[in-house]
Amino acid sequence: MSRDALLAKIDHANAGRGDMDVKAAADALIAEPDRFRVTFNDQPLYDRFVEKATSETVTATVETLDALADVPAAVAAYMAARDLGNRIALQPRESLTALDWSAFETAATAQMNEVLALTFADAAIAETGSLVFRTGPDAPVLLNFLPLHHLAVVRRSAILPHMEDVFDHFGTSAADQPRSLNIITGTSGTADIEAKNVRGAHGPRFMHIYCLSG
Amino acid sequence: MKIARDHKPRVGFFVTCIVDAMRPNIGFASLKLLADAGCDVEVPNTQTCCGQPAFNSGDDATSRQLAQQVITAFEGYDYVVVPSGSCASMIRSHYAELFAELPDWQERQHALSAKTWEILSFLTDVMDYTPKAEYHGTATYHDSCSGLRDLGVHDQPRALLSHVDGLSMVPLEGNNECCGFGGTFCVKYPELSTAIVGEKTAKIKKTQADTLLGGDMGCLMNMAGKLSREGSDMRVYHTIEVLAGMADGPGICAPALK
Amino acid sequence: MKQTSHQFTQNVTRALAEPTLKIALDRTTTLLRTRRAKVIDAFEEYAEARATAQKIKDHTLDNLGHYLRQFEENAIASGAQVYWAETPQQARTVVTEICRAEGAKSATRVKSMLGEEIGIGEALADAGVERVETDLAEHIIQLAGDPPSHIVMPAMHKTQEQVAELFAKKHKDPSTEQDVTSLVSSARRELRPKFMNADISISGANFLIADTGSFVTVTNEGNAELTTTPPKTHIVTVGIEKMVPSLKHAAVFLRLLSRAAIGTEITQYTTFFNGPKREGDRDGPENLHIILVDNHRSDMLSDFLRPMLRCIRCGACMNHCPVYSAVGGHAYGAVYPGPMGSVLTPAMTGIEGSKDLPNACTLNGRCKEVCPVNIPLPDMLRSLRARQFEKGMPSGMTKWGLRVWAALATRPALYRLATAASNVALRGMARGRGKITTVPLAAGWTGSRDLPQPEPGTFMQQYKKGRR
Repeated sequence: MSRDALLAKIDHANAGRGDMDVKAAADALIAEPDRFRVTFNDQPLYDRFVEKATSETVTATVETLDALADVPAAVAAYMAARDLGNRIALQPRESLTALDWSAFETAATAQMNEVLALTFADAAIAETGSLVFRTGPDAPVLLNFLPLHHLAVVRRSAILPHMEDVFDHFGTSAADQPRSLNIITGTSGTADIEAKNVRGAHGPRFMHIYCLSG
Repeated sequence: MKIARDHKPRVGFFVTCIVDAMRPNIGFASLKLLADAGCDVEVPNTQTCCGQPAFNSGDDATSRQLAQQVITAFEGYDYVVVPSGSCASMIRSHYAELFAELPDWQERQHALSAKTWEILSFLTDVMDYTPKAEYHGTATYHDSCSGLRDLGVHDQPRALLSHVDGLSMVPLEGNNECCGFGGTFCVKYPELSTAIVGEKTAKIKKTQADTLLGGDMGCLMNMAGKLSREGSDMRVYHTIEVLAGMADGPGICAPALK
Repeated sequence: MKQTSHQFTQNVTRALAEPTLKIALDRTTTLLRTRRAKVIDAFEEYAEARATAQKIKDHTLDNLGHYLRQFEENAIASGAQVYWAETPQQARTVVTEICRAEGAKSATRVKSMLGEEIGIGEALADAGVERVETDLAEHIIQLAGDPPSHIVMPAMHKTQEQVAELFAKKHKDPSTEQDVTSLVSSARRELRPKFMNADISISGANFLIADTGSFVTVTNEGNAELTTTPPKTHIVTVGIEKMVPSLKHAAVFLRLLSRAAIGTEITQYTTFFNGPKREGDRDGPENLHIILVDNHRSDMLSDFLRPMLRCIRCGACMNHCPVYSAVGGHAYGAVYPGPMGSVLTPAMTGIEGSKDLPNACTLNGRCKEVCPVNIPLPDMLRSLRARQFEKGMPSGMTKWGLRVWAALATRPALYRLATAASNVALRGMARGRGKITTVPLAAGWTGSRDLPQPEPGTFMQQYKKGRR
């Protein structure tokens, strides 16, 4: 059966059911999102984000920095405290590469057993404590997945309340979409053995977030 | 829903086939409480079964025939009251599925379904009844599935039992989980049913209660039968027997008093 | 997998005799139930979210033709190739042909139930491609040679001890410790090189977004992204019912899916994919193939099984099912176990080969209660019984028993005589002990349970004699 025959069969089964204005009908269903999503009216976005990101199920850690220029020193401190050497996989994004990395050995792509990568999140979601990454030439996918330690920078002003706000912010049409939009909430986990939660299944075991107050 | 009444409601009592055959005491305890709550109760002689065994076996034609029999026997009453969440739910929630293609019956069916009540919720939600009874023991409560999920019977039995002198209640882990009875399921798939009821009786015994209560004779018979086979001396009663002060005889599956 | 639903009762007997199975099931389902209850209780807007999700799915199904066309157009515009498969065989053929055209030797795979449904393993074997399962649970069952026993946690039937034994035997560099963390590290070491070196990646999709042409995967392990990024070609096999109108509609389901499935607010990794690698991209597949699979879904659209197409494959129904909890997923003998499987298996593979599935259910309603899209599973199982009855499928004792009972129950006077007679008979069997331990033709009950001794006389007899 071809595409056309299958679609004809579906249309036949749906005879008399479809909407005249499909988009209007679909939009009407989600016109009042606060009725069906978690709301946190009184809680500031930043507080909510940190509470969720550092929760028992998300397991990230969050550190506040005043400026982007403070990132290399903070990364150095993170690595020294854990004896992780000085090699980092650094997202080839200008805002990061322009910083002073002279004390590090940096690479633009992650190796198979990369210890640590630093990437810049395009947004964050307060509802769930998630980070949002949009791929592009300066933002490959694997840097967020291969390292054991995933360090991420996000601007405080980029924390949005809900996932819907991320879609609105970057655009909801087909043309607005990056090749891959990764919404990452903490570290790689699995509960596949007796539902016991373990971190570092395939991806990062640790996530550390630098939140830039500026 | 509490109704102001200027006359005694006429209640048609639907005893259910299991209570009729296995434990009439539940039926008589029901009559006593309904009268005490201020109802005029009658027991139509043309009743047999609500049709649930046929319905759950996929035999819609027989189910429909029995539903029509129930509608005809009971439609003249203000209320139909049933000492079983499962049978009440059959009439209240499922009869409509049988008359989708019989418009002349739909109205009668709808009217009957709307006035059919499981007895414990009827006593509280409609009659606002407070029982006076005494029972000495520690009981745990199993919420039978149809009553719980189709009819929302959960708080009512607990509220009624809180008025029983001498009775203390302890919670049952998994009180809202199926006991494995399932009507014809228990004889069609005995191994499965046995495995499920075995888990249930283990949880019942863990409560340290001496009495098990519930609102459906089918489930109670299943759990009591398993407890009895396991050598437990747990006393098992329908809630209505305790509320009516008629839990003085042997519990379900217990030996006759000497 | 080889379907064994026709021998369900034998499967049950075997499952109940398996000593470690119940331990594994209890450990997992208990945790999943508790976690779900906790996260749903904390979600004050849950009832409205569930109702909205149901309405969105119903709307999408009502306009499915429109949305499929819209999705196809947008997906092609993003650079993907879109295929349509009416049957599992057609879907397998597309997969095999792509693998052959690429000269592929190895494929990494992200677990998807649709993949199991169409027999993706068979398709890869036909193309001579080595298949590497990357989801930890799928990795476990691939090493063990087992079919999945749960749609979210395919290795639910395995205890930690069994996994430790398996990894020790099969991994190149197994951990010496047997705690879960060490086991997971062992799998990480084993699988990491395979992610990087495969020729093809295969995934399913949890959602298709009509107005952007995106598809969405959710995982906690991050294996979807790790699997589908390095290989040159990414194949997606997905059921046509996974459609939602837009990104924002998907958000409604993303709030429900993980809560219902494992009791967390969101999965760790939620990715929206749009087409293959773009100019300047440093990673990502060069080719993206999306295969839209029907496999009787279009048939379900036009009968009482239609609400089943709302299903988002969370597995909550099986986690809360007393039958599933007693015997696990393998007893169902089909790709989809538990309540949702008992509806889908007859719909997808025929009612004759799975006649027990709709019947082996107590109709307790817990599955519907915990379903995040309010699928009336018990009602559908009962309707499947009615369909079986119309086809004359109940036979032997069941049919005979029902007929005799119906003949009596529809004749009240005769019924009174019969119940009075059975009262006498049962009392005779009880011999005053209060219980009956064996009843002829009722071994199903008395094999494991006593039957109470009835009072002297039925209710109706006693009432007629004036007892009040």
